[in-house]
Amino acid sequence: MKWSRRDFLKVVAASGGIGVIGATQVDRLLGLGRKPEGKPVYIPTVCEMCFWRCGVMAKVVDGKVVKLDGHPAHPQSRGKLCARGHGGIGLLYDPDRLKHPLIRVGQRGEGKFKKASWDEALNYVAEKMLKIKETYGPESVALFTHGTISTYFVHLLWAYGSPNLGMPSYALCRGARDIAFKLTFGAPVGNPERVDLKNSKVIVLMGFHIGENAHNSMCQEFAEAVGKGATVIVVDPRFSTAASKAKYWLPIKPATDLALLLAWINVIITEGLYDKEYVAKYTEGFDKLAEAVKEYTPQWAEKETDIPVSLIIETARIMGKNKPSVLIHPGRHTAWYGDNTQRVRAIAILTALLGAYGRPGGIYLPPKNPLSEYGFGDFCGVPYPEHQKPEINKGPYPFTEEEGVIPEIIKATLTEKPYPIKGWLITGTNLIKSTPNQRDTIEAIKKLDLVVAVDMMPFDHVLYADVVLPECTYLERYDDIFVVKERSIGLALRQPVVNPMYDTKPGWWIAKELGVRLGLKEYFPYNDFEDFLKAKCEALGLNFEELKQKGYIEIPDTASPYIDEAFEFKFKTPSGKIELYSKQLEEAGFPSIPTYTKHEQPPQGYFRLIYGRVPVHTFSRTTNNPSLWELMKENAAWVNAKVAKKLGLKNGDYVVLVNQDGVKSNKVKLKVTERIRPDCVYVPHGFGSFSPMLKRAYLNGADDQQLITRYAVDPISGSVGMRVNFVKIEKA
Amino acid sequence: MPRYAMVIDVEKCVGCMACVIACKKENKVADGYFRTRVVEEVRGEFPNLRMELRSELCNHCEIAPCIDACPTRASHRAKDGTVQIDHKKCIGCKACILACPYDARYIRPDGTADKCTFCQHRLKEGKTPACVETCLGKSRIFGDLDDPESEVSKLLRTYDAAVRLEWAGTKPRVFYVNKRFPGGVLTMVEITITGTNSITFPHFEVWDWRIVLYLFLGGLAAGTLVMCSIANLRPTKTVEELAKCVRAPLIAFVMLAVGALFIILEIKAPWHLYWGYLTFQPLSLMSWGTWGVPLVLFFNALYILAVLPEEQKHYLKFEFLKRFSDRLKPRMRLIAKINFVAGIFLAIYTGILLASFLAVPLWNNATLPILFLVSALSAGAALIVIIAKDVEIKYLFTKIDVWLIVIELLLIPLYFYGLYVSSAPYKRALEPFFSFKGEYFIYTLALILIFLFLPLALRMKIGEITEFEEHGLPYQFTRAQILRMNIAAILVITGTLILRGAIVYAGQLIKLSIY
Repeated sequence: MKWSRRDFLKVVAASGGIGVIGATQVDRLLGLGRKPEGKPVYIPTVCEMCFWRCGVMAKVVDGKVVKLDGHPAHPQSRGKLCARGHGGIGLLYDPDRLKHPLIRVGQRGEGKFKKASWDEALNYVAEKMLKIKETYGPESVALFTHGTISTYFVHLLWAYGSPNLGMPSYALCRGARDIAFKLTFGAPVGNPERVDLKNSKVIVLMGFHIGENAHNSMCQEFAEAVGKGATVIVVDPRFSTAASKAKYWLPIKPATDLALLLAWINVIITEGLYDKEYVAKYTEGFDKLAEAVKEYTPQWAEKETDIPVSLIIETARIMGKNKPSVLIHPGRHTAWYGDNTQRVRAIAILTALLGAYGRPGGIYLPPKNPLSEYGFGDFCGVPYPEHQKPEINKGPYPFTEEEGVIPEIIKATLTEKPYPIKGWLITGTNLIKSTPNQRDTIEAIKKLDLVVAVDMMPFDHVLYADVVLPECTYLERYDDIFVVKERSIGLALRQPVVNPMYDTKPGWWIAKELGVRLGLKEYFPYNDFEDFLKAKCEALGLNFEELKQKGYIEIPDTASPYIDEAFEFKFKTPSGKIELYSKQLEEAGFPSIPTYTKHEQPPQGYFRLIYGRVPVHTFSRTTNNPSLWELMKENAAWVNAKVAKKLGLKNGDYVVLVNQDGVKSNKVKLKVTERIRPDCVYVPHGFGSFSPMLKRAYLNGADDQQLITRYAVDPISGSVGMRVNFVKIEKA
Repeated sequence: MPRYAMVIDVEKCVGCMACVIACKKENKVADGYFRTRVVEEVRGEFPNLRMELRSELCNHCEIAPCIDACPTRASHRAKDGTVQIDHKKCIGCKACILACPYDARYIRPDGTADKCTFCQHRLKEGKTPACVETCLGKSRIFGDLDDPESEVSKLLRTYDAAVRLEWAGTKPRVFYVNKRFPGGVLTMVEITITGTNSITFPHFEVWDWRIVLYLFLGGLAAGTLVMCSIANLRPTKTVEELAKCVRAPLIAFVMLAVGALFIILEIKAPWHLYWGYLTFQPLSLMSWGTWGVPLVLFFNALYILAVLPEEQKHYLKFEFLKRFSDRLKPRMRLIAKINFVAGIFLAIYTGILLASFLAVPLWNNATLPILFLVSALSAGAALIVIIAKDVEIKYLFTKIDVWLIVIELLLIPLYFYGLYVSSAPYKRALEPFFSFKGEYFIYTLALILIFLFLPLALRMKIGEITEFEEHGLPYQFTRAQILRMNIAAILVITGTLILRGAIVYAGQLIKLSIY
């Protein structure tokens, strides 16, 4: 040990001090060897603990992130962060992180790897990808991706020549909603959803459990509305946190939501509660709608939904009375049954009847966007090659989008039809835990020549990878500039607040290095990501340094939340109006106005498996995060108290859930509660990881996705309905 | 100076838990510990339900039992009116944890007590506490009660605010406003809490067998000292006769010293113990113990020296001790009187120590110190019966013990009855003893044993007395007689140990707070 002069002086000063200060200071002096804590540095960046992408102020002391706070100017954080946002530190310093590139040495699924250099790992992947391209064509490589890393890997995939891309956020989540809104209003409802919560007088939440899904600014506005006395109507088989704020909790029989919506539309039309002027001016097909919903009386709906007629009428009247400041939340995870698009269409129609679209307290309009679009394609200036074979990822569904239907890719991989898929790139999504029917996924993997996982943590799917490429966390990297489309347009920058730990690399670097090895160098004309960011800033007319320093810059005068009655307003639908009656659907062979379809109810002894979120975790991605794990280590299956009593089960007992196909869950704690209907079991999503490399999350709780072996695909959008599984409860 | 307070608008809490973790990161709270938590309290039956979400933290009470309980002033009221902990003074005795009815405290890894500080360091910078800053629902509102324009003052003027466990009388500075359901009559059915400390949830796990042994050995030593001084103070005795009683004070000394070691093992930051001797806190029983136990040991040592017979003085290795012993001998009666008082103090102190904790209904009771006093005296008498050689002494203390056992057997039901007729948490505190449930069976068993051992001992002792009254005291007891006497005495002493063990453990199962 070397002693510097300063250390020596400290010791001298200290030993001189002991006599003077006396014993009381002994403790402080014991800390002599410790350096005094450095001055904190605050660096703005953008969160990636979920998809909400809040602005963050990172407090860094001596090169260590000690606290994350909400960016005050960013409209999605407003100076606040949710539990997961604060818990980002746990991700950064999780000892279980992927630290080096890995190459598989055991069987797929065993999780046996050897350490590799980046060169080795990337060359391995590139070689295999080139071979697949040569043997089967580039279309035989598929990409599953979620989050910011998608920017680079979708670019890579398209440059490579494959259209086969699957994002869980589409078909497994919000896809049906976006399609339904596009069909009705000509625009999706956006991310963040353009919900004018803070001005709402009535808020209707259907299976949308805000609070438990802690979308930061949305939670803030919801609480504000509740504080201002908004009437909350919650339709949910479970007494959610949001339901506890509600004046009306309608514990609907699962799978009958569309019946309630149609009955509401019926009441609103027959009682003349709709916004007549708005409907006349902005909508099309009202008469046809009125005719079509005649059969859906509240009396009929009561039998379907278990909700009393009086309550259906009362809640409809409350909506009618408070129009247009009524928000019927379009939801986010709308992948429930086989008629998702039609159900959300009914929400959209109800919204339109109440004149709530483009009106205060309803759904506000997208901001005016003066910025030019500028992506990776624009930066490299090279067009993507045309793919030779048809895309698989859209399936036979006429209204699907680019983001794709993941089960279609898995099906094609399994059947090798219409052509074989031989390589999977999996970036930023725990494919095993996000996709229904795990057995199919695992079987499909057996058909592959190459499985690559790019991620920060050794999630379940990583066990199956041939090559694992460790991405650094959002606190250690740059990402593409985020165009924030809240009420106004703004730009936000994610920048490294500390240097990457271990041998981890940013997503943009990994994609580029892979691209170079695939002979696609011209698509990645940057050395440093700042090259791209500066070019983009220039194109957007922005100062990069200012963006770095502020973290978020709002573009002034871009907000136009409400329809200006003085001007003619055109919707981006074929008719230019809100399409209550959808000609597009009719032409594609679907009902032009939502019609009710009856879904199967659980057989005797079984319960419908419903699932949802908890405020402290994001899917299966945070259950190992030490900061968040501490708040919730395992999930619990909710069972109605009377049912539990009948089955002889007590709160806290461990049970096993067995689904209709005989698939058994990991053991899971029972939450015996009055807060759920007797005909369903609720399981918070994302637990029960079977990756032993996740030391904290490993086999903690049950994995709902494991029990979702059946799914019902919505023929319009390809949305994958996952609430169609039934489970029985067995003692563990 | 300001009067800081927090108002929690429960209607606006969306249960996001951001406060729980923001607090942890801001204050570098160690893994596994929490300074604030979110409570989800559900009432009613499906489908007629309501639920309150409420964050809880240290209430920074105006009348703070934790400050009273602290022997070193580590827990103190800061100038800004908040309750703070000076970690360098904290000895980790955990008295504050048992005094706080709000489960606000825990022991952090360095052994000192810890809790919410209202983010004092941020207040100094003009910021609000971290939990308030990040509260998504703006459910937590912070401000100065002395400022009539502050949001907290306005809210408290406008709405009917409640505090947790108002009847505990601690005057919390954390207020709860529930605009939707200002009151409630439905019974609570479910409670879920995020952010709990294992030392206070689901029940207290604060003190264990070490405290039981401390209370037991302390009580036994105290009883022995009292009984020994009674023996020595009998007017008929000469100084020479008295000197025969040296073993009793010596045993008392050893027992108390060992007991004191156990409490040092139980406190979590004993290296801060010197702070206890730089102050005296009359309201803190821990402070009484800090000073009292060494004092009792001191007088006890004097006693030993004073009664040490000439022929045993060679055991004293130092000349000055011999001289000291010679000088003490004539003052023996005074020393015995002092030890009588010291013994009574010590015996009753062990009970008051438990009785002083507001958060533990089973202990927080004035009968308990008397019960502990009597049981200590009874055990002391029993011990004297075992160690005394003199027939008369054995007989005398058998007689004394009979009365003490009778009183103890009356006091135990009285103690339970007092709890039974008290308010709900106190009544519930009896649950471990009378529920006959599997997990609690050991407490029922303890009670059964106490009510088996003591009457049995009583019966045996009365038998002995009757025998001696009929036949007169023999010159020497037979071995069978001695065995019988010793068994009775051991039953009494074991009963004392079981009583203390059962009360220490059972008390921590039922807290004043309703979880």
